[in-house]
Amino acid sequence: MQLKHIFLLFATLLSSLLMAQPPVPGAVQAKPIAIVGGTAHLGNGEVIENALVTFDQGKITRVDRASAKVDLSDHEVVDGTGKHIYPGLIAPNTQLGIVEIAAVSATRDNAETGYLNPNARSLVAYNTDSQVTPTVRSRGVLFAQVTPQGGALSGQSSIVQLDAWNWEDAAVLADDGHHLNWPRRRSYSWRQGTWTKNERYAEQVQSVEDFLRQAQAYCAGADREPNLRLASACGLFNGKQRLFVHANLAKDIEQAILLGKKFDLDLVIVGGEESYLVTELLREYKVPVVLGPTHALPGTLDSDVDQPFKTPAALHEAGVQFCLSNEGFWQQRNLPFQAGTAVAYGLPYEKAIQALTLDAASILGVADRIGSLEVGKDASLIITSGDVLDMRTSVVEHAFIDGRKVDLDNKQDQLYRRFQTKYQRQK
Amino acid sequence: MKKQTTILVALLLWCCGTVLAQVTFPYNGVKDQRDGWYAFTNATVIPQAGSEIKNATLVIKEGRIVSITPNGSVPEGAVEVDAEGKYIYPSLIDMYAEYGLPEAKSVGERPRQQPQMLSNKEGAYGWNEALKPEFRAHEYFTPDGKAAKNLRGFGFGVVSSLQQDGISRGSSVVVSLGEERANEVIIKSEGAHYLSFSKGVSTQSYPNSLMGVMALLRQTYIDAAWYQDTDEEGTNLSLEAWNDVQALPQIFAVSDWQEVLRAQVLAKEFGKKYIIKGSGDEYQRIAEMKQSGATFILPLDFPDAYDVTDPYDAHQLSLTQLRHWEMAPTNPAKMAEAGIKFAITADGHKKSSDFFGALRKAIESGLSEADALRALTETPATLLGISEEAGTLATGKWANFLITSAPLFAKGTKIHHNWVQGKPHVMDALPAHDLTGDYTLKAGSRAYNMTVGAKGAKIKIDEETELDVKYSEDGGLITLSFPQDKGAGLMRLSGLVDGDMWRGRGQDPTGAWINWEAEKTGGQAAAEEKEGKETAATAMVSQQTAPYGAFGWTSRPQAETVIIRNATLWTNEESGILEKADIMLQNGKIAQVGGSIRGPRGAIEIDGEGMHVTPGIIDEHSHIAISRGVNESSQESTAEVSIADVVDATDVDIYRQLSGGVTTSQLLHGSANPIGGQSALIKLRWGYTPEEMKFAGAPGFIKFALGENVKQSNRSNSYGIRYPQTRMGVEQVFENYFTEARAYGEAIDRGEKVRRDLELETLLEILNGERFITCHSYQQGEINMLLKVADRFGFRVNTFTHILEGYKVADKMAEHGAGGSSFSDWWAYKFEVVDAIPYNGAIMHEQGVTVAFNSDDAEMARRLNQEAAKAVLFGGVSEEEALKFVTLNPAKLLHIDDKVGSLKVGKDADIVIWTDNPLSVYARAKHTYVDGIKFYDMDEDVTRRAALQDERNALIQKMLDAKEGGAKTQPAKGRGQRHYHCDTEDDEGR
Repeated sequence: MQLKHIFLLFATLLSSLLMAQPPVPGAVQAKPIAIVGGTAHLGNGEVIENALVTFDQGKITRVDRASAKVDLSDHEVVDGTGKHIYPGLIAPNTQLGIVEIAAVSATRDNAETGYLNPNARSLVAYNTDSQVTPTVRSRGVLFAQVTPQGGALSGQSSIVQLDAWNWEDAAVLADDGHHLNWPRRRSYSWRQGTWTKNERYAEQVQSVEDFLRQAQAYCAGADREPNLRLASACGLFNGKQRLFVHANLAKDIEQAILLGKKFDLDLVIVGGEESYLVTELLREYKVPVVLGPTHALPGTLDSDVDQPFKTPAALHEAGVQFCLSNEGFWQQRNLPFQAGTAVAYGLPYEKAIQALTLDAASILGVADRIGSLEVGKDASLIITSGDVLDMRTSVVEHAFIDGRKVDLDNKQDQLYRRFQTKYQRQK
Repeated sequence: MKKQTTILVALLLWCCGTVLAQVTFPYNGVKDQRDGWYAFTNATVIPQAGSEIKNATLVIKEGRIVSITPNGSVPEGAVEVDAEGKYIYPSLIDMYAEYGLPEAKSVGERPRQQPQMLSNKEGAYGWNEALKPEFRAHEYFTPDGKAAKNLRGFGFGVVSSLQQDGISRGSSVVVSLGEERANEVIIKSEGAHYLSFSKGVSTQSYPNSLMGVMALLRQTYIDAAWYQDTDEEGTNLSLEAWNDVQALPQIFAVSDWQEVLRAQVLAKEFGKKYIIKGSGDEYQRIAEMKQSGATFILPLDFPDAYDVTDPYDAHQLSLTQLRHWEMAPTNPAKMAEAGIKFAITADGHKKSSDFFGALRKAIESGLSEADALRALTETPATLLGISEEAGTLATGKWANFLITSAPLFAKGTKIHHNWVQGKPHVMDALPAHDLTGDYTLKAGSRAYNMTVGAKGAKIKIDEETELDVKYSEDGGLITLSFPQDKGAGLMRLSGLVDGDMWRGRGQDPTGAWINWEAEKTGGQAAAEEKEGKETAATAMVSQQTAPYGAFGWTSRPQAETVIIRNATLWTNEESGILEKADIMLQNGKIAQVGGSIRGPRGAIEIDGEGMHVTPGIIDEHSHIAISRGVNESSQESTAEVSIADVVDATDVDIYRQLSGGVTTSQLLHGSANPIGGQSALIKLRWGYTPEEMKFAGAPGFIKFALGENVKQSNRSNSYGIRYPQTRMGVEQVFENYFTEARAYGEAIDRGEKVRRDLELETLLEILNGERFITCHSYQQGEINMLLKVADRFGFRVNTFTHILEGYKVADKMAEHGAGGSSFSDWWAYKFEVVDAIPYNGAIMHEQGVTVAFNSDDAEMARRLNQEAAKAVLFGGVSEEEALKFVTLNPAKLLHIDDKVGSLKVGKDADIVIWTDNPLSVYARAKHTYVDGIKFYDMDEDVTRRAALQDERNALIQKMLDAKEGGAKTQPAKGRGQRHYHCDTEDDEGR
């Protein structure tokens, strides 16, 4: 009883100190760390039961069986027995850090005004002090592709790690790609209850294509009058940036592929609701897909009731490269469960893990550093007490980013403790 | 005897007709009043559907029919019209026309983006602009020559003309389609009172939902009755008019079959008999249409085939759309077959050829010609109360008839004359003589054998060679032209028709003048054209299912006796979670739970090894299955509206949620106003009618709301008119309305005569503990506020929904006895949820609050079991208790835990068989039972998908064939779906 009260007092003190502030970023790894025991899901499809994972100075130094004879005397040892070890999960296509409260415009920095904004960069708007981010990383999501929205060309996303002092620290890959919202060929009229044709569709597609043509010429020439918009797109033509095309209908995906081919772009489809209809094409043209939320309603009235649940399995079976995503910002904490449902509907488990880690990293162009538990890669990983994909068991006990120990506390846990205190006092 | 009567009536009419010819209008010049005495001879007269008189003589005089007799003689003094080979029909009647009336226009203007609380109409009228019982069409009616001519082309002689605008559209005027003064063509100044579920051009905010329209109609029936008995209101011309028009036929226009049932709900409540102007989809629920007891006016609105050439475009079309293309033309036939009385309207058709095309389609689809004719003549005449005057051809009735070239509905039939009240309107002059037949033609030195048809003629040279002959006849003169020989120049002949002999002069190809003559040698050429019959034979591929679309039932599923063996049973009872136990469902109830069951013979045995059985999931907060609007947001209190009026039984989300184990949903009004509308509690009985889906014996609920939505915080500033705009005002709304309701109740208790007020009545039910509140809420301050209001007025707040800061005041909630129905983990979507935490459910639970997790979202509702698991993840609630968050606890909150929510003998057999622990992301609902009826089966679903694809494909192929065959097509606009949330607000009252 005594002990409990002391603990409570301490917890109260701590929470009042930290109240309304996100936790302090983890310190640089000072000492080698070894996780001994547990099941390591490497992110590349492989699993090691009873594993040994070590890392030093922010990099993974060993991924092995625990039976391997290694001197760990200088290591801080974490007992992984009965636990699961995964690479830090990656959330593609999210507004984490650029929207704090969806309905309050002062907290929204996700959509610049105008139709063609390729020069807008999400990285500079990324708020490392968001109260939302700690709630997401405490669920095992350690990386995000912070993605602008709105217009046709929304701007450039960046890949960030979720435990940083400022956006410079946060950047894993700045300005990784451009985002094109494929013009809508139709709009829904609730009055008529039907989809109606967008009369300006051809014109809108043309304006995007014209822009790319201009930009391509601009980037190839020398001594041009400076033009921020055109210049910002040069990365698309020299292989440094990918074009993420947000498209859902089969026809839009086809047309996007055609556009990619025309300009020889590194193309990624985002959303891909009807990607299951065009798997041959996606494979043929080697276009990967950042699949939209699994937890979505079927696209048409007659679609199979579980279509979005089983689309990941369909892409996997067809040999299309894909990763999984969830919409929004705070919702990223439920990203692992999007994969869990995909498993329930036929996607092999390790493939689902891969779709949240290595495949996501590859599609976002950061697989050289993150996405799998492999020697030499960043020591960014999580340790969970159970299956991370199942809400029934998904308790994240430890997280490391570049070997730094991430504080898993967050505003919501603080509020939980605060009001537990209130009710404890009433007893 | 009969004949004598006829003559007597005729004489009577004759005399009266002369007297009636006196009018108040002065005339110019020499009076020229004729008696219009005609005799039409040798015609086939169809006096009414189903009878026919050959070689009849029809005599009319002074606008009325004198007699119809076979081979009758022509009275001396009558003008004879030889109608040999022609047909005479009663002219048609449209009881849903808009003719000779001004277009409806809004009264005044509504400021952009701002609410309009009251009617803009000046004068002593009612408060709502969409109710216009005072509109009397006859006061605005002016004959419109052009429109009348067009309508006569359709074969109409009389129409009931209304202004198609508003919820109450006032009375129509029944007019004949003559060209005379309004005074003369008005047959009945007040035909019928027309109603609809659409507010039309009214700019007033209320009602902005279908349920608001229902409530408005209800309150108006009540108010009008009250107005008749009291003088409290002063003068209200609208209510006065409303009372006046009740004596007329009541015609209610609807937009789908579910609205037929909704109209019938009102009819039943207020003892009305509506004639339903249908939408054309009645064939989808014929049994219910029959059962409704209503009479119908059916449009012939048959969609063109969709252009399905592109498979991706076709993919967007729903099965319902595809089927409707095939089945819509069968609608009248199906209604007739079911013995439902109906009239047909041309509403929606601009061209007579389209209308007759549609009629022929309906006939090819099984409607008998007699039924078609009846629906256009006798039936509308009877419904409009003018059957003494019109609708059939009989002595004494108006001389309103058509003279046609062939049977009325046959392809290529021309309407020659449309006689309106004894006045001829010639569309296509009667030929002086029937020209069709075989002729020998001599022209100069040549002789030919010629066959003359209705449209053209041919000359036969030998077995292989035929020459086309063009001819035209005008006033007895005829012109012919044809090649002299195959490939040769033209012969051009002109002459006169003298009976069977034609003769005259002409020029041969060289220009030389020749004499010619043609003599008829044989009878009429076969009149029947070969085209027109060919489409009839194709087989129908559409299945008849309920609901009428994907995943519908071909036959209604039945309750089964089922034993599930060796499963893990989550009983939600004291026995907890039973491993390897049996459960039996029988007669729609849970018959036995636990142990090893010896079931009756014939019971369906299910091996539950490795499976989990739970009570069905209950979603305390859902917005699926709602027609036209989830919010009646036009006023701060709309307690009078009810979602129960607008349940949409066809929403595919019902089926989708069954696949996620949901068996009961509370369909809540949205959160746009502090006092919202009443909810509907439904069981997900997929394929049933809205009424059949309702949870019987459940108490009534109403939605309240607090915070940002009701104070309209997240809107443009121009909205800042409707009270309240702050949380201060929100409290005062409740204070005000409950004070009013209390006073209302006290007045009733004192035995005072009060106007029944549906809004206050609902609030009074809350004060009396007869209706419960589910209140949308977020912040602790407002939660506490409502608790205190309730304490002051002596009622209990039953449920706080959303309640994301419930954890801050869980002790107060528990003390008050309020439950909490929350999201598991939503937050950060607006300012009032910045302090929301996923531990909310766990804390409230620990403090003794009954906690549920709900969806408020059509997608999430399919995974509420997963949401329940988050109570384990966040806050460590036990798995057994967590499952109750989506089963037993919402049942308790809804006061239905005596019927559902646990596996207990005697409770409804609403259960789910899961493939795994139901709290796991890997669990899938294998079977979902409601009342012991298996409404979802994972394996059968796979079979259904295959059948669905087959049927879609067959319909698509048929459409492709139709396109190939030259049928008109329309672009493949897929039907979409509207998913409501608490804050969805659009004007759906239109």
